[in-house]
Amino acid sequence: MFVRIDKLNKEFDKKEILKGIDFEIEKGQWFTLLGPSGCGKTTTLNIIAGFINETSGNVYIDGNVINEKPPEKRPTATVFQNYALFPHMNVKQNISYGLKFKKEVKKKDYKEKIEKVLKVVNLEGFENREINTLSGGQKQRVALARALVTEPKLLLLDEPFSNLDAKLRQKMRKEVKQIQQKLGITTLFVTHDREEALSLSDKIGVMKEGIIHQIDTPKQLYDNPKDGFIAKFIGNCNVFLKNNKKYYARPENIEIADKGGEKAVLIQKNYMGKKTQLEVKMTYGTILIDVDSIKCDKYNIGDTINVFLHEKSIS
Amino acid sequence: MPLLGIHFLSLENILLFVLPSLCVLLFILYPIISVLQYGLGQSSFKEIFDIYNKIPKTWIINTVKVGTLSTLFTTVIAVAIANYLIFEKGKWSKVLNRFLLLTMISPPFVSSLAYIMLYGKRGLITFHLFNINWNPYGIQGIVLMQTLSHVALCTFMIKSAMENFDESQFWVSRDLGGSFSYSYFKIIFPNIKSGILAAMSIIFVQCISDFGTPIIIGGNFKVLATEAYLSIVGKGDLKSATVMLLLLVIPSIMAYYFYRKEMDNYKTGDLIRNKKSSIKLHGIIKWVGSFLIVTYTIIMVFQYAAIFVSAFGRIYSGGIIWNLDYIKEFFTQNKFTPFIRSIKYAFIVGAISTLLGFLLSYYIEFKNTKICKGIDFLAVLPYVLPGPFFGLAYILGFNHKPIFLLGTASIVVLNCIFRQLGISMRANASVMKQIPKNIELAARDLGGSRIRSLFEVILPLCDTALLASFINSFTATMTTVGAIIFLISPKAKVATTEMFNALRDGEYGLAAVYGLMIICVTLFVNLFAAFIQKRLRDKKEKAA
Repeated sequence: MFVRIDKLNKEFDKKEILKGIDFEIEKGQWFTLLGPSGCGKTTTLNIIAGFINETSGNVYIDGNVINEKPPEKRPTATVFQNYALFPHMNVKQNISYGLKFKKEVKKKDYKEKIEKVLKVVNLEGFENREINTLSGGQKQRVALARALVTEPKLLLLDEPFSNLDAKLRQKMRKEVKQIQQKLGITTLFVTHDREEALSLSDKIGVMKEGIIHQIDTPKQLYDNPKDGFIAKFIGNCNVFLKNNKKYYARPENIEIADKGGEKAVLIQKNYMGKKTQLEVKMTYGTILIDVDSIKCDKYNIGDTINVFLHEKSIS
Repeated sequence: MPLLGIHFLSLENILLFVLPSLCVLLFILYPIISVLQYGLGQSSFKEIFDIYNKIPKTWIINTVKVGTLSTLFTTVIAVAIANYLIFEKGKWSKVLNRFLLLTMISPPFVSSLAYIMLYGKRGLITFHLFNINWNPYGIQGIVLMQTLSHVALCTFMIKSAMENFDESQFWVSRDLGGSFSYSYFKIIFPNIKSGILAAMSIIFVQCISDFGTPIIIGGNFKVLATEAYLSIVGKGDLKSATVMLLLLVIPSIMAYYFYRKEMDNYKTGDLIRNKKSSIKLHGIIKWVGSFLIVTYTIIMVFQYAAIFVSAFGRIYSGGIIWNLDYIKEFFTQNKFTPFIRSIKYAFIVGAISTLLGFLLSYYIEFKNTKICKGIDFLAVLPYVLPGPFFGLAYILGFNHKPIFLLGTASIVVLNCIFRQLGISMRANASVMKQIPKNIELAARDLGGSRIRSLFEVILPLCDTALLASFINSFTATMTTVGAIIFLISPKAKVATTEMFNALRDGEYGLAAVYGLMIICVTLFVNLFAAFIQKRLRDKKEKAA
């Protein structure tokens, strides 16, 4: 396996932040650590980059243990949430910063390399711009270019989209994904945004309280969550007990029929445009159902309706 | 009619803004104009040049030499300590931090006093221990003393600049292949450069305007500040004093520029201020730094021990004989009254400068008109001007009608209030910057008047800033000499000037008791304030 994280543990002030983190990334794959804030995903990333030391465990990249080395000797490059561009240097100087430490790169080749990488991130001609004249999206591209130009074996992305507004975020996601696929660069991405994780990743590890609960493809995670936490974290979900067993049902999978199924009382209608969310009361508690808006004019609050939950059991 | 955005004629604004602003004009702008007019306005340029030509050029060279050397040494040690305080947070870093605070609240000249006691002609170490006969007086003594006394202030200024560093930049540099030292010098250093420049320029001005240290341990080494002091106090020659002090003002303009730039440098990002830094010191920076810190700490511990010993005993070649003679002398009415007076002044200055600072920064942060900016510009000025210059400004501004204050207690108090006003405003402004500007509108929307919303909504939110500002003004007043020594009348002496006189006259024991007592009071008040501060913070955390 190209990247292997082996039983990573981290204690901090006698608190266990990471409890045996294990995962692998294939070459060229986009792997995402997804989890709520404080789950240890950024700590994992920082250990892989070498910014903090692990308490125990190992990090292998391309067959070598790298966690003994200081960050400057590791084949990784990080893009931070706030980009961390050097404000006292211009775009060209920021990008060439990492090249200076690569002995195999000749000074006369810098220009070509910088031009090439700026083309990749769609910033041709920006070489001499000062950092404080750039927009958020442009800063992000420079940060990415600065990391890519050193040709890292593993690219680390620490919530790189969370400082952008919604529209720009969509655009940058698409661009970064395209660049990653074009270059075939192995990528570890950290986020708390499930949509981001689902749309970008080849594989996702869902983390909570220092443990990875499930590693799977986005589709598998959505369709076959291992437990209630993942079912809820990865998408809207009704989790309930039926005959002392735990079940879950996604709101969009619940069917309303003219007859049959189970009885439910409509208590609330939330119009959301294309869809309308119905809140119904059943013996298991309150259940949410997503219905196409055009189909639900006939239901009124207080009506009893028939539903098929299509629930699946869960641990 | 709102003029520049403020209805100046409403009673509230007259009370809360117009009156404080007029005070700033009267007690900062007016005296400065007076001294400029006296020095430059009345005389022809030829006359000024005649006076200037009479000043031996060695005084100017000496001044620059002392200022440069002291500033360089201070800064190097301060950077080392700031590194340690920021990047090695632990037990020792806390101890060191407290120790620096102690040296910040000590009166000036305690270093000089200890220096004479330890390394003087009859010094405990040089004479009694090693029996060396050497001359401690001269530039080496001045530079050493000024360095020791300014390290704490310089450290805290540099530390606060470092706290504004976004440390992910450092990690990017490491990540891209830079070593620790390379990343330190290429990434951290350029980021804190403006903070270091601000600190250096402030320290430079303080060193060149320090007349006391050269008088006590300068020997024949003459600098401008000392000669200006002597021509005022000894010869009553205000003309040449003015010209000499104006020379000292030139670098303080530069200091103002850097200080101001750093003050307005409001940064966001993954700042060290908000968390525990994950950077750890390494290699040569760590080792050179540790060496400097240990040396500095040992010297300072010796210093305080020396003060203590000199207050309670007499040193003979055989050892120390403990006695309470100096303590008894201190408690005679003649010596004790100035001490009590100092405490009273310090309380008054603390209260008034805090209130003025609060009101003015409120208008600057919340109303931000051109007039406010002008007031802000003036209010910061006295802090960066040479102390003796601001003292002379008060002599020349208030020694004649319409406002005759010379010889009164108020002139001393006023001088201290307006010298510290800039710091009070800065403390308040830093908190007010974080208050959402519409909070006051919300209060007024619900029916509160401006005065009520100001005192019931804004004031409680600034509680820690108010306390910090009070403590700063209190401590500064308890320990200042530079500006007020010219303003003290024989009937209203204060502790620091008495201490200075005792030192100058060779009464080291008495000076040590003064020093010790001033430290006790400032320490007590500071500890008490720290206690309240902690309670306020705890309360806020609980509420959150």
